[in-house]
Amino acid sequence: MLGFHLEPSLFGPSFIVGIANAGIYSVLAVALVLTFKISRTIGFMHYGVAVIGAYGYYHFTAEYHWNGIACLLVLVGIGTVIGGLYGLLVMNQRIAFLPRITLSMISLAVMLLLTAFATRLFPVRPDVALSPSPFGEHAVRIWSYNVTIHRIVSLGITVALVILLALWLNGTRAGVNVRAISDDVEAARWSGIRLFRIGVGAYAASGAMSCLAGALLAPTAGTDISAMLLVFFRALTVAVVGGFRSPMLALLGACVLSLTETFCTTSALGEIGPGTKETAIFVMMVLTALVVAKLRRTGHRLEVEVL
Amino acid sequence: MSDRRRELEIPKLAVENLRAGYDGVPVLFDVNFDIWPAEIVVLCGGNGAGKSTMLKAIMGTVQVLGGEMRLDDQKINKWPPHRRTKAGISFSPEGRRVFATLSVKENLHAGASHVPTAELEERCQEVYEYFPVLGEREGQLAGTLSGGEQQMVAIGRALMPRPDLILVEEPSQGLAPVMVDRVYHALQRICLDRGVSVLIAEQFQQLRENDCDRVLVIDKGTVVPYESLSRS
Amino acid sequence: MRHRTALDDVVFEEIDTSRNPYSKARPLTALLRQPLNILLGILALTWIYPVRDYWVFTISAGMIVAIVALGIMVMTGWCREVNLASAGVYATSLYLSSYVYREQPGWGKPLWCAVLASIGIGAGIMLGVSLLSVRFSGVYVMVFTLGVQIMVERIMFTRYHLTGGDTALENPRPVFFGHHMEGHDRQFYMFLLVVLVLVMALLCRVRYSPYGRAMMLAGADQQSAAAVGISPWKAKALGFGICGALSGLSGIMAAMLFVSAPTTVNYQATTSLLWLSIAILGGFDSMTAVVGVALLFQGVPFLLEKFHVDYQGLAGIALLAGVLCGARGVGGRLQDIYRRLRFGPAVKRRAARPNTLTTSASVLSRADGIVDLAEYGGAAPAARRQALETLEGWFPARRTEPIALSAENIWMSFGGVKALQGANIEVPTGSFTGLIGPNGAGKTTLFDVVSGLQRPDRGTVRLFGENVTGMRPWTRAGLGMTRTFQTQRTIKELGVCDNLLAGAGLRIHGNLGQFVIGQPRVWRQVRAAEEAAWAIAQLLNIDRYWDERVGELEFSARRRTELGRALMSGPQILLLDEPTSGLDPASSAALIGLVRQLQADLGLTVLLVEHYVKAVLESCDLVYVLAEGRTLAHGDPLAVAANAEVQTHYLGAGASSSTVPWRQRMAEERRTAARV
Repeated sequence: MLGFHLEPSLFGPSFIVGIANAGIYSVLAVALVLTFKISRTIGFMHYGVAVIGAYGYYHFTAEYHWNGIACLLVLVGIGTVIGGLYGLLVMNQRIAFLPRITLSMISLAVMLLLTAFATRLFPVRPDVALSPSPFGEHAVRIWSYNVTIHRIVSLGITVALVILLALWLNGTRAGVNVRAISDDVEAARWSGIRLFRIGVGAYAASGAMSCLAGALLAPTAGTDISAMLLVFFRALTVAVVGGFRSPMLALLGACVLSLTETFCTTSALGEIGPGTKETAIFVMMVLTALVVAKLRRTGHRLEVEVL
Repeated sequence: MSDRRRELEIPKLAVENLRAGYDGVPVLFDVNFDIWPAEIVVLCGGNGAGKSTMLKAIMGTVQVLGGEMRLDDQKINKWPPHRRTKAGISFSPEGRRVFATLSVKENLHAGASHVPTAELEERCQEVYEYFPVLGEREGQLAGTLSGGEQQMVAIGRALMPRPDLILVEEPSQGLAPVMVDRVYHALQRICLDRGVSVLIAEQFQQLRENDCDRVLVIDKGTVVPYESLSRS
Repeated sequence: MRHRTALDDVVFEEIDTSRNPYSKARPLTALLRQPLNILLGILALTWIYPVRDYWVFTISAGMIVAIVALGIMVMTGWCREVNLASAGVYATSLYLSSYVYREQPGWGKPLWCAVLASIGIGAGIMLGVSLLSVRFSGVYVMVFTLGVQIMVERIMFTRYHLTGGDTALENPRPVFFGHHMEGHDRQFYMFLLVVLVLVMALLCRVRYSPYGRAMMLAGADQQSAAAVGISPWKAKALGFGICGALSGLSGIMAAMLFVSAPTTVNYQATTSLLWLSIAILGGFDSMTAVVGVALLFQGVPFLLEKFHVDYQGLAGIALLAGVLCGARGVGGRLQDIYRRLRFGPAVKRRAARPNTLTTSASVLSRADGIVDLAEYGGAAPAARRQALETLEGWFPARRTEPIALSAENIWMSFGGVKALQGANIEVPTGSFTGLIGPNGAGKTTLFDVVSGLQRPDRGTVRLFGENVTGMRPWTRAGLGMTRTFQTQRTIKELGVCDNLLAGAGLRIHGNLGQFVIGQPRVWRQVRAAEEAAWAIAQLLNIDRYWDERVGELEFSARRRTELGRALMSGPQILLLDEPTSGLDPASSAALIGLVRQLQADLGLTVLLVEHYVKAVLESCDLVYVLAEGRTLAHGDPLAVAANAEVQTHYLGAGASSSTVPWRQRMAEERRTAARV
């Protein structure tokens, strides 16, 4: 099971595929980072929105035969609406200051409801397994390995999104307000920043991102909910490891994680079973979280890391 | 200010029979006082006396359990903090509470949420006039500044929306006396030049009787006369 | 030598001294005495006879889920750690233990082997996760358990020789008294019923033992738990372990129930969430409600089909409902309704038993804070004497070393702030010592260092001469030091009695096994603890709130509950962190007076941090003044108050930087500037 022997010829293609996969993880991770900055809770509901995106894309292309790009745009719109509605729910005065565990559980509940809704509203057809990619079915040859256009464009969209978000956070007034809120929410309130408006906006934006991520997943993962949960958990791992700090860190973390995973799956490091791979990734997450916590330690004995 | 003039004007901020506290438990009991335009008032008291709660109640982040607060004769009990900022009250909290990961300029911008972008630069320059050292360190991260400079950032942030009333919580805390002088001096200039009222909360031992117009003493949640300040 | 104050002339009011009305020291008998439980018991035994087979099967399956849900109730309700891996752990033990039990493919070991293996696997996995959560809590634990669930799905569920893949493997049927049983057999249901009742009985015993209360306090607030001698990590690990063990137990039960082991699709993350929601909805303090909700969720699958709601939808709705119901869940709400029906509305109940601490006091409060009390409420002299006697029996022998606590040359800085710069404190045994100082002087940091929550950069802390600088907070509590906190740290959903008893752990000796078995020796100590708690409640005037939820009480009553909890640990030295913060002048003075009386009667040593300077100078034997991280002055209160340095730094009129009013000065400056 732990047969390590290197296969150099597989390094190149593993690298490419790994980077390309990172794209999907980082979009979700960035959405998680954004909502964490606003509310200091983990946005589990993003998984639900991603499922709606995936199932919706599948349904629109399979049932109505819409153009792929049009589907993406429509789904981004749907994601924005769902995110905005969720923001309205949780940024409300009475709910916003509930304990974080309660808010996380509300997020979990909404995630489940959205998933149920998606599977009910967009039923799986027996004759269509995977959806067509919105960017065509060509493949490009890089280093003697075929990489689909879909993967490349997804990666491109991701990088563009992350850069845009980083620019927005640092350049615009609303972005500055979001960073102020994430720095010190009480002081932000006293400074006259409108928490409600900014919160709803941030949730809407992250909803759009998760829906897009889900739609981009549909051509590769189909409607396999378990696979999607795995992707979501990878994104969560990435976000946790980065301490929910910044979009760029999320992208970097996603690359590292995805590369690790791809190298394991493509036997570039020898025959590694899925069990070892999963355990290795889990251990990596825990260790990094411990190291990050250690670096931020204030010396208080019972100050437990509650993110 | 003469009593005759007081009869004609309405106070900038009128607090009447205010009861406020946390989770339904009052910390302030039937507080009554007025703040007039263009005056500096110090709210003096020990810890746990309620100074912090008082300022936060005026700012809108503490639950009001009874009584009334009026800004220019408008009842503001139920107004959210951003509305009060827009109406002319701003707050510099205890311990400065600057946004450590934002630069000085971004901190100032954060305090001016409802100010149109075109005016932002002008207002920043106004702040730099009172605190030149901030102008020199515009781009520096606020977390790396000294205590005195952070206090200036906090007050500057509170100045950005051009308020009529600034609430300053314990500006002397943790600062060297010469820094405290500078801060008070700036506040006095602001009061004189712009007719801004300043309500400063301070501890007894930091009280500067000649650097303000009036002293209000708060003790265990009630405002008591200043004469009793002398202790046996 | 402290001078006489008005507090020495107080007149006590006569109150009723009825006995403790709500003993839970015999938890099982208490449970059986409730008529509802007897009714449910009879129902559970008789309903199976007239109904059809598939109902028995469904309810049996529901009972298995109920066992898992009870485990989650312990972990998530008591220890407040959210578990998202319950289905994964359950499935792992189900597949692994049925492998142990099955003849082919399998090991063919006897049934009891499989049961033990199952429980062991479950507890083992969850204890492993608890090790990870030593430094992490809250949301991190959610993420870690979700990770475990996903790992199980990826690792376990792909081992087809264990799970059977799409075509499930067959389980051998359990044999009882030489009789092969089917899942729908009434006898198997009886067996399951016995197991469920045993689990509930054991959990009941744990709940009312110090271990259960330790879990609840550690879940509510780790620092308070440490302050009364509970190691929060150990307490939470116990919760994790119980949850895992019960998941494991239900796994093997399920293996016996289902003729063919269900496919893995039933045990994915969604199922974990559904079971989590059962525990939340049922409520953390009502096992009957949790079992009821579990049975309900199992018994209405056909309803789900009618309304087109699938498993995920149900889980989502249930979670939302659970969150809305709050920590006490449906069970708690039902309990409230029952109490309202029996005792009347809560508001009326409390009005009938008023707080007499300051109602009959005519308080003269002068501007500088001195309070003359004409009379204030308290226990009647006879009741007071008896309560004090009970407490004398409860408290350990007083230590005789001259110096109870000393902190020598403490230096502490963090984040660039020098909080303490060579602070020194010495608290003589049996004294009532006060610590005052301006804000930012380092009082709370000093307290943290002394109680063990912070490790100083330099300096030593000695407790009765013993160097405790390196010791954990709960070990220090074991040596006799207890501390209270400035902010409210009670278990809001529980009554005053449970909150008080949460502090008794240090004085009760016995391991978990002894409590669970019901060994009379250890449970006698629990009864003694209840007597002591009742005595403390009388002395602190909160006996009238004995079974009221602390979260609904008024502020000073909550404060006194915390003080009572600290007293329950039988401390030698009590550290009080601003006990009067948030109280009005009258209640503040009364509280300090109360503490002073208790200190004198029980021979405690008390170190008090306060901002209510006048009260400290009035009532303390010894006063320390801290300023800028150093001890500025110490000694007799009068001497300290007269000290010139203290006057200028803290008590006296402030530093005026100029003698000229500022407007005049500014006008001068401007005139000078204009002339230039």
